[in-house]
Amino acid sequence: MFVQLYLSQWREFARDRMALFFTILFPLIFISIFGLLYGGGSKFDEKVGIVLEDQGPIGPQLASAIEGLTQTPEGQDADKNVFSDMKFSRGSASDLESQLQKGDLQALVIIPAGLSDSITSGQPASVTVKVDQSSQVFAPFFQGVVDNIVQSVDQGITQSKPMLTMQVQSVLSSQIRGIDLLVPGILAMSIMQLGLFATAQPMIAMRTQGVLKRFNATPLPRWMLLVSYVAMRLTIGLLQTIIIIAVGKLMFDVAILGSIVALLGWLLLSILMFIAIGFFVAAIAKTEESGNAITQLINFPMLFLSGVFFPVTGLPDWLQVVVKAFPLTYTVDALKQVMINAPPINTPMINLVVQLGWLVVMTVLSIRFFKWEAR
Amino acid sequence: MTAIQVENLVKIYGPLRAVDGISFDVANGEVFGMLGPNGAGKSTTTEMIEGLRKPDGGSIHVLGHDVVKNVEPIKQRIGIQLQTTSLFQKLTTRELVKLFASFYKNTLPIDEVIGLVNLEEKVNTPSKALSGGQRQRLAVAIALINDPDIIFLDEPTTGLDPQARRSMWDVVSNLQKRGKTVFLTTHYMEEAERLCDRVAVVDHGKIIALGKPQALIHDNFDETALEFSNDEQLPESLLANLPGVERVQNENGITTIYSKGVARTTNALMALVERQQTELRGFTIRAATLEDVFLKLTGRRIRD
Repeated sequence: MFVQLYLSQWREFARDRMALFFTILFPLIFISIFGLLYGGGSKFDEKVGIVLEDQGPIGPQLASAIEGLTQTPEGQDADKNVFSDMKFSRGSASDLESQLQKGDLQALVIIPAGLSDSITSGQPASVTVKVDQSSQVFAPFFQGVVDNIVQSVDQGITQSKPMLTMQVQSVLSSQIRGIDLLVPGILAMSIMQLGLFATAQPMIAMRTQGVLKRFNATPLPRWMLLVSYVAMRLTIGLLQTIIIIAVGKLMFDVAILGSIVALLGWLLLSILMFIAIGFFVAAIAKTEESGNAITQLINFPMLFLSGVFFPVTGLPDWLQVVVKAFPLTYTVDALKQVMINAPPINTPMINLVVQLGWLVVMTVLSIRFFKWEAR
Repeated sequence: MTAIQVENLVKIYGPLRAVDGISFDVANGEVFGMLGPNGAGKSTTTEMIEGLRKPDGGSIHVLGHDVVKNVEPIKQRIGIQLQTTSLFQKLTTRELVKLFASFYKNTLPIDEVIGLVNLEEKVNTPSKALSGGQRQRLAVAIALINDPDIIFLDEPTTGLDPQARRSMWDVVSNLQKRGKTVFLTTHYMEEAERLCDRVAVVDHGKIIALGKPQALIHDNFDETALEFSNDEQLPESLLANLPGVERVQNENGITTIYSKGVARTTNALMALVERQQTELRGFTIRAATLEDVFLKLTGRRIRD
């Protein structure tokens, strides 16, 4: 019973060229293009200006921490420090800003006057990072790193602990290239689209076309149908992600710094979460058309606002609220952390709890609202 | 023993009483038909008997089991062809039959079932590439896979061309020869007359006539029907006064005269046509059918 159901769904999937293209080939083409575009340079050699206007103690600490990125900590291979070839220069705001405009600098960090005073008197203060957006790989990564340095300095002050080093080190352990940054995003994207397009759509189609009704007329238990449906999607999801990772590894030597087991665990969790979300869409959509609309409504904002293509740290505050609400944000963050030790947005515990939460809530709501028959 | 017992069945959708107090029995080995226009409540009744819908009133027993309370025990013993069945598009005939076979404890051999519906040449064709008639026969094959005691066929020939329809009739006749109980719905008179041992004529959720097709016709008619297209040249008042005429019915520009004396009526009709200086178009003389029964009982034709 289960085997036949599972096999049937496999055949239906494997004989559908469109489905095959979108689930397997499309992400591979994606990787290959980006691999060829960004795969070449192995280190950042960008030039960065630092404007230090703060007279107090904190500004210089920040400046030297950022400059310290080129230093490789004891016991680590300097070749593996992705920032070791970067050039830093200090100067006045007007001077360096014109250099950034001309393209002589790729980024500029401005530490404003009075920063130390503000912080010691309990007022918020901010460091400005200006980046040349044309350097698409470097800009977001550098932003993330500076953000981390600022955070750790901030923590150092408020918790009066020794500062800096630990957050900065986390990005030092390998050569991070554009392709390395992108693979976790592509994985997350594929998983989301598996849930939306390969889970929700066929289920809605099965309902509107009466396939579910026909199954209901047989002794086949409903849970068996659902289990085989999920099992089939889980298989596709794992297969798809493993292919992406394998191709990335073999063709472009993509970095996987964390443990494979942890990576598989995160993949499994996200796949299940997005299958549950797909079921929820199938539960609330009455027709294939409305299913399509809902799917796209979820797909596009998440695709662009969850850190798949660019980091979400640079987005304005009101968008941050939206970003935090998207489950994909946590998938991307978790995968980036485990694959490339990227600067974390959330702790692993938060990523785990939020994704588990989505999984459970979506499952419960799907069960509550799911209809077996079109009306 | 009775295969199906339905008593005072009711189904209500909002203001509509889709099924309004239907009762009948189906004997073992009988081919029982529900005949009526679209929206008469045929499919709703069928799906309630199959256990796919819950009735709002009445009782249903299938093979002695109360379907309203628990449908599971009969699922192994009935075969269902829904009005529209679309299945996995890219699976072949054999793969689909095999899939459904896996849901049942006892099954017929896959190839035997495919043979019963004459789809041997299409075993390896994906269901998407089957014609409408072939797809319907595949649906019947799937309904037969568990060697069911009762087979439900919901409008098995709707939308099929005449040849495909005849082919489906052969399949049903074979089932009858094998001693199966068949419950079918249709809005084709000819189909009901030809296939069914007994027919329930339904309209607006009620059974308006029930019995053997020939008996239904004879009970309602000892007349012959004279039919022609009429565009008001021959007013009903004149036609009704012709000798031998029992009743005159006008429907969609077609006049039907029910006569107990075909020769007298025809002669008088021809004379009338002459006098009115008009023509008779599409004139036919035929025996009464179930269509006439329906027309007499409801004032409407089945297919409009």
